[in-house]
Order: sequence, then C-alpha cells, then structure tokens
Amino acid sequence: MILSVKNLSIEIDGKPAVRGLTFYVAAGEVLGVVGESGCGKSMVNMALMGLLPDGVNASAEQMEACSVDLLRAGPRDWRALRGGKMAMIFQNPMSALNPCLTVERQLKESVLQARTGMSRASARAEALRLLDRVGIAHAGARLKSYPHELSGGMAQRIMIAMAVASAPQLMIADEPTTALDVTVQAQILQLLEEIRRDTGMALILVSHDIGVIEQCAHRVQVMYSGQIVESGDVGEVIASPCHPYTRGLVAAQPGRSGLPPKSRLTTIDGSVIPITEEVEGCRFRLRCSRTDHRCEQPQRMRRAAANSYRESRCHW
Amino acid sequence: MATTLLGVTLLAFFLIRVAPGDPVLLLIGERGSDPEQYREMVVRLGLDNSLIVQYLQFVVSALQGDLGVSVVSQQSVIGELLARWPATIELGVSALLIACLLGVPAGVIAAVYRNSVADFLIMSVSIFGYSIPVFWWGLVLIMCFSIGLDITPVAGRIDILYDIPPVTGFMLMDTLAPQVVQEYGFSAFGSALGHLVLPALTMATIPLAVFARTTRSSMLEVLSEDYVRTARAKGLSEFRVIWRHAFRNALIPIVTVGGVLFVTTVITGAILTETIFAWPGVGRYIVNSVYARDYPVIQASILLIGIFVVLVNGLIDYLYGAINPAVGRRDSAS
Amino acid sequence: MQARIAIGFRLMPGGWGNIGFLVLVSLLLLGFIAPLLLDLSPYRISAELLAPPSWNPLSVPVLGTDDLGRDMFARLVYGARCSLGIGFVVVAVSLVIGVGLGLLAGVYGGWLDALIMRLVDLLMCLPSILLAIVIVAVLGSGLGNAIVAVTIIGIPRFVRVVRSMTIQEMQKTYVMAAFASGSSRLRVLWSEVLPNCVPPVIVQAALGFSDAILEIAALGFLGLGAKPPVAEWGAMLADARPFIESHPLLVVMPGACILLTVLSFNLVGDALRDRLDPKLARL
Ligand SMILES: Nc1ncnc2c1ncn2[C@@H]1O[C@H](COP(=O)(O)OP(=O)(O)OP(=O)(O)O)[C@@H](O)[C@H]1O
Ligand code: SF4
Ligand SMILES: [Mg+2]
Repeated sequence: MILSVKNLSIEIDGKPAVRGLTFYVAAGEVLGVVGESGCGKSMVNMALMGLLPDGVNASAEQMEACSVDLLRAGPRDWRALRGGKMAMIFQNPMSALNPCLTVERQLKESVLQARTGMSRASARAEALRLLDRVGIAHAGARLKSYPHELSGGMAQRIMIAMAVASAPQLMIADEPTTALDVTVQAQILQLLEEIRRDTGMALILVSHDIGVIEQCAHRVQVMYSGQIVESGDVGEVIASPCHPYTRGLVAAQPGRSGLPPKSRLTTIDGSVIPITEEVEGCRFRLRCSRTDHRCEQPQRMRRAAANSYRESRCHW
Repeated sequence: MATTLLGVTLLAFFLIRVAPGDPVLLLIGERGSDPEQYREMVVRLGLDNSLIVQYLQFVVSALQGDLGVSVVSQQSVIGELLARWPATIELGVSALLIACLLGVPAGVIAAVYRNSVADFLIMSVSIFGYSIPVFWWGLVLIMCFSIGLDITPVAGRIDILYDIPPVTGFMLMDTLAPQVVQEYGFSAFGSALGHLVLPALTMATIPLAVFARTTRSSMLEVLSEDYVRTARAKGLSEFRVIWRHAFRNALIPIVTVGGVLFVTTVITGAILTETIFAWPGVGRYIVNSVYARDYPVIQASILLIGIFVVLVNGLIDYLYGAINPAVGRRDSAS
Repeated sequence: MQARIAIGFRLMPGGWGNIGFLVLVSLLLLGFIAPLLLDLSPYRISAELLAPPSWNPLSVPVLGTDDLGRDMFARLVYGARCSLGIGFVVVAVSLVIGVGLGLLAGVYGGWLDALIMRLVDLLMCLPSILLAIVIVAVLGSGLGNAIVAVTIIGIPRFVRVVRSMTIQEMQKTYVMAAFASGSSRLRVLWSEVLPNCVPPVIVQAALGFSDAILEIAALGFLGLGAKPPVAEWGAMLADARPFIESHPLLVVMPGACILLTVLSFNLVGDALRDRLDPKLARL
C-alpha cells in the first residue's frame, strides 16, 4: 500500500468535520474521489499533505504514506515528503502559481528541492525536460514567462511538471480540471494518465464529475458530508450504485439513466448540510428518498455483496 | 498626474488672489508703499492683464525657475527653498528608513504569528504610534533623552563648533568630505548623526506604525493565497515560503503605502518636527513664512511640494511595475 | 428592556473598540458635565504659580497650576470640551458636504464627477497639515479659520467612499429596476443608495474625528489655531514648552490627553471597520 488511512477525523475549530475515513491506495493505482462541493475532499487531501490551515486539526488511528508514519512526522519529515515522494496539484492552476516569479524560478525550485546540490545549469536542463514531458512547446521561451502570460491549461501543465519533478510515488490531484475548458480537460487527464503509466506512481483524483472518474480511475470512493458513503470498483459502482446518494449522482449525469442526453437532468433535492453540523442517524437522511426507521441509527459501512470489496453506508 | 500638477499650479496661483488684501502688497511687502514701485510691480507681475494671462505668466516664470522674491529676506524664493531642501530630505529619508526597517519585519512577524503575544504587542504599539501627536512625541523624546539622560542634543543639525562648508547640503555627507575629516576627524560626522537621531525617531513613529499595520494585513491576505499553499506543497522551508513567495507579493501594497508615507512623512513630519527641533529645513521655513505672511514663499512651497508629490507617485508606479509583472494585464482584465 | 440592551450593544464597536468607546464617553462626560457640577474655570488666575499636582482628588489643584496659576485640571477638562466639540463640528460639516458631493459625482458622472474627483485627488495628494497651514495662511490664523481649514481637509474621505458605494449600488439590478419603474432619482438615492453608504461613512467619521482632533491640536501648537488664553490642548502644549525642563508634567499632560482621545477614536474606527466593512473584515 502506498497510502493507508484508518479512521481519519478532522476537526474545524473543535467541531468534527470529516468523520472516520478509512481508505487505502495501492501502488500504481488511480483512486477516484467524488462528492459535491464542501463535503471535505480538499480537507482530506490537505491532511494527507500536512497542510491543514490554522484551526483545523486531524487525528487518526493510522495514517501512513510511502512507508512514512504521518502521525509521527515532524515538520522536517513533512517537508521531505512533500518535496519528494508525494506531490499535489490544485484546482485553479492560475492562482496556484506565484504571479511574481517566472516559470523558470518556480520550476527550478521544485527540481532543486528534489535534488539538492544540483548545479544551476543542470537544474535548468531538467526544467526544460520536464516542460517537454508535460507537452509544452517552445519550452525555452516558456521558462521566461510569468504566470499571467499562460493559459489555464498551460498553467496546469506547469503545475504537473512541478509536481512530477521529484518523481513522486503518490500524486494527489484535487479537481485538476474543474477550472479548465472541456477540451483542455481531456488533454490534462490524458497527460496525467500517461505520466502515471510511465512512472508507476499512484494517483488520487478528486472530481465533482463522475464521468471524469469513470474514465480515469480504477476504484472510486464517494464522499458525502465528511464521510465515505460508497466505495468500490469504478465500473461496478457506476453500473449499479448501492447508496441512494451515489444513485443520485450517477443519475444526474447527462446521457444516463436511460434518458436522452438533452432532457432535464435529474438532480438531488435539497442542499448540503454544513459539514460540521451534527445529524442523528444517517447524514443523508434529510435528502434521501428511501428513508425508513432504520435510517435514524448511524450507518456504518457494509459489504454490499459477499464476493466483492464494495461497501456502502446504507442499510439497503 | 498632469491634472494634479495643473491643480497645484492653480492652487498656488489663486492662493494670493483669494487671500484678503491687495495681491501686490502681499507679494512685495513694504516696498509697495512707494507708489512708483507699486506701479512697477503691477506691470511686472502683469496684474493689469486678465486672470488667464496672469496665470500663464505665472506658469511660464515658474518653469523658468522664477518663483518671486521673499518679502522677508528679499532673496529669490527658489534659492531659499532649494538651500533648505537637503536638510528636509535627509531627515525624511532617515525617518522613513527607520520606519521601514523596523515596521515591515514587525508586520511580517505579526502576520506569520497571527493572534500570538508578539502579534498583540506589535499591533498595540502600532496603534499607539498611529495615534500619537508628533509635536508632543518630539517633546517627550527631548525630555527623556536630552534632558533626562542627556545623551542627545536638543536642536539644530550639528554643534556650532563645527564649520562645515555645504557641498551637497546633506550634513551626513558633508561632514565626511575630505577637508572636514582632515580638520575635525569623524567627530563632526558623529555630531551630525547625534543631532539627527531624535528628530528622525520622532518622524519615524507614525510611518513605522503604518508600515507595520499595512505589512501585516497585506501578508495575511497573501498567506492565504493558493500559490503559498503550492509553495508549501513543494516542501519548501517556511522561511522560503514566507520571504520568497509571500513577502514579494505582499510588497505591492506596502510600496504604495510607502510612497504615500514618504510624502506625508517628509512634509507633514518636517513641518512639525523641524519646528520642535529647530531643524533648518523646508518645513520650518514654511511655518515661519506663514507667521511672517510671506506669500511668495508659501506659494512657491506649495508648487514645489506638489511637484515633489507627483514625482514620488511616478516613482511608485515604476516600482509597482517592477515588483508585479502582471500589473498592466491585471488592471485591464479586472 | 432586553431589546434596549441589545441595541446598546449593537452600537458598541466591539473588541478593543469598546474600550475606546468608554474612554470617549468618559471624556465627553468630563468635558460637558464636570464643568456644570464642579467649580472649574480654565481662566481664573490664582496666586500659586506652577504648583505641583497634589494627585489628591479632594484638594483643589489636583493636577497643579500652570505658569499663570490657572488650574490645570480645569484647563484639561475644557480642552476636552474644545477638542470634542470642534471635532464634532468638523466631522459633521465635512460629512454633509462630502456625502453630498460623493452622491453627485456617483450619480451624475461625466464632467461633474471628473471635476469633483480631480479636486478630491488634489486635496488628498498634498499632506493634510500643509494644506491646513496654507488655508490658514490665506484666511488668517485663528481658531475659526483653523476649523474651516480642517473641515475642508476632512471632506475628501467621505466623497471617495460615498462615490464608490454609489457607483457600485447604481449597477445593481434592483436600483436599475427602481429607476426603470419611474421612481424619481432622489427617491431611489434616498431609499436604496444612501442606506448602503451608512456603514462606511460611519467608519470614516470615526477616523475623521481622530484626524480632525490631531490637526486642530497641531495648528494650535504651531500658533495658527487656538490662541493662548483658550484652553485648547495643542495651544496649551505650546504654552508649556518653555517649562519643559522645570515642569515636564505641564507638557506631558495635554499631549497625553490628545493621544488618549485620538487613540480611542482610532480604536473605535478600526473596530467599526472590522465589523462593518465586509471587504476588510474578511481578513
Ligand atoms: N480554512 C478553513 N477554516 C474553516 N473551515 C473551512 C476552511 N476551509 C474550508 N472549510 C470548510 O470545510 C468544509 C469542507 O471544505 P472542502 O474544501 O474540503 O470541500 P471540497 O469537498 O473540497 O469542496 P470543493 O468541491 O468545492 O472543492 C467546507 O464546508 C468549508 O466550509
Ligand atoms: S441510510 Fe437511510 S437515509 Fe441514509 S442513505 Fe440509506 S436509506 Fe437514505
Ligand atoms: Mg476542494
């Protein structure tokens, strides 16, 4: 396992937000994470990278990445991990690059972080190679650009170049394509897939878009309001979702659920409760269409079928 | 910029025409009692022309460096002002340096350790500094350091023992001129520095507080930006994250405020501080001219200070572009 | 009763601002009520010149007397009345003019806007104390003219916030809808635009108060504002300068009063800004 997490909980200002997450990622695997805005996906990613903001704290029974015990990691270990075996790319590439520094300086910084003591010239050569690797033409000229001179897709490619500079074993991509045009989205996803195949790194791919997950991921876990509500093999989960929330998500996809693509999209009624709010019983209860008396009890993850590892947080 | 300059010239021009009393008398003082001279002055000043022509004449002669003659000293105003300018700049720049060197790091510390004891202390001191009446603060410093501890002089730029030929007008430089060093050694420089300390500290107080506050809020804003998170995600040390990635971006508002402060420190500070410390600069000269109702001097001072402000603003715009490569693009995009 | 308490709390600026607020209320009481209750005169001359403070609230020159034998406590109390009173007049007048000009500039735009904003820029780019001195130089020195000068300098801050708020509001759909439905301009301004300007204007008023008090005191100190017998903190400070070595307290006290007042206004202003200005409060 490249990453294994057991009972990860995150508190925001002392109030529980993410509740008891247990999951793992195997080497070379793509784990898709879906869930609507505000359900805590980014919080979990930040916890994995040790980058939680002030006032937000994580605790867990076990949290291990790339054979490092994250629960016992000090600032130095975290830094080594971040600039080394783990890397992350973000939702909005334009704001994730420092507007005051050239691409060259930011990229070389990543290169030198991974390989201390490298000469300036070879760092530059490595930066050029990386730009080439992520499919940027005229790499030499691009090195001199400032972020505001780049398009969104190009900026995300550079973020990816920075992330792979250290040849990470695990990359976390937090909605890497949400801010991009559809055509660019596909290219970026393809690039990530290529790099993963070449380097054998594992990838956590976060997205709102279950279509993206279906296309790229091996396994998927669906999050709702700070909990994993369903997990399993991508194909199986999408073909026959167990949890009512997943069902809603899948049905909300255009061109699914037997409806012709242009017809009105199914949406899940009601709005999300704040992640820090306490709910008695199942957290999806207020929006679920299949509630009965059993839903008043807190739900735990159950095996959905005897012969598979699919799990769902619903009694059905 | 251009409109500001225009406004300043109009302000200076109308100053004496709005003031109660005969502008001729205001401009030439007692000499006006002689009817011969009075008529000559009316013609020379073009007061028999229309206002527009008068204004143009005023601007043209100002461009030629002729801003009239002081009523009090009968000397060329521009000469008198320029002779005092270096003293004011020397004081203002020293004060701003102190303010910047102490205020900016203090603001960064306050932002990085937000809500800590250090933050609380820095912000408390800063709001005091921000509210302090400069003229009183100068007196308090004199009480403590000159009267109480007797370690700094009370007034002037240098001990009267020293006879320093003005070369640059900047006392710190002039006292290091070879012949001065030959004659007095470095004691003249020491004396000049000693005289500079209290007024510079007095003047530095308000800008220091403003620097600390601006830096803190600017840093707080930048520290929550995505690219700071990226920098951390790269595994950079906190020191690099703060100084290389955050601070550089936080500089933009700091530079802007620094420019405004430069103007207000140099001028406002000069007017009050120079009066307290008998510092022979432009500020004290202006105040004395107001006492003496020396209108040509007041008029010329407004004009010169207006030009100074415009120049400083130009410099700030330039620095702004140098720090932030996206300036042009961003402005047009938003 | 509870509702009333709640309103009282809503008026409090919050945080450190509350302390500033309480100090200001005390100063106000001291300046305007104490003279009614106690036998205080800032001008009465006693035989005891430069008496040291007794620091005993029951014995009469609590804070001593000045070089003419006038009761320092009485003079400081009247100074509070003077500073707060003048501050109020200055802020009130510049607020009314500034808000009016800001609305004009924001609503009508065009050359009127350009003219007003150029004037505002001019006033803002020159250091305020210089402007005050120049205006006093033109009008002649004296407390009245100093008040006029400081009022003029206080106008731009209001023009700017009101203008930008107005322009912002005018682009909102409901304001456009109000115009489109034929409501008169004035009516829309009064009912839709002006209420939104209130919070930033209050913040500016608090900060304007502190600037006005500082500037009036500075002019008094330079001898261009209040003239000697008047019990004004700045002028008192100038009067006391010759005694800086022998009787430092005479210098310390009026300045400390100015500092306390200005500090309180700044605390209130900052707290209000944090609370009322959503853009800054976000930090
Ligand atoms: N710095 C913070 N302090 C306190 N609460 C926060 C902070 N950042 C986010 N939150 C809260 O945590 C919750 C989870 O946010 P998170 O960013 O993890 O959601 P997300 O699933 O990534 O959503 P999105 O799809 O929009 O990125 C949100 O409801 C938000 O209100
Ligand atoms: S447990 Fe009940 S409420 Fe929760 S998802 Fe299942 S059916 Fe819906
Ligand atoms: Mg997110």
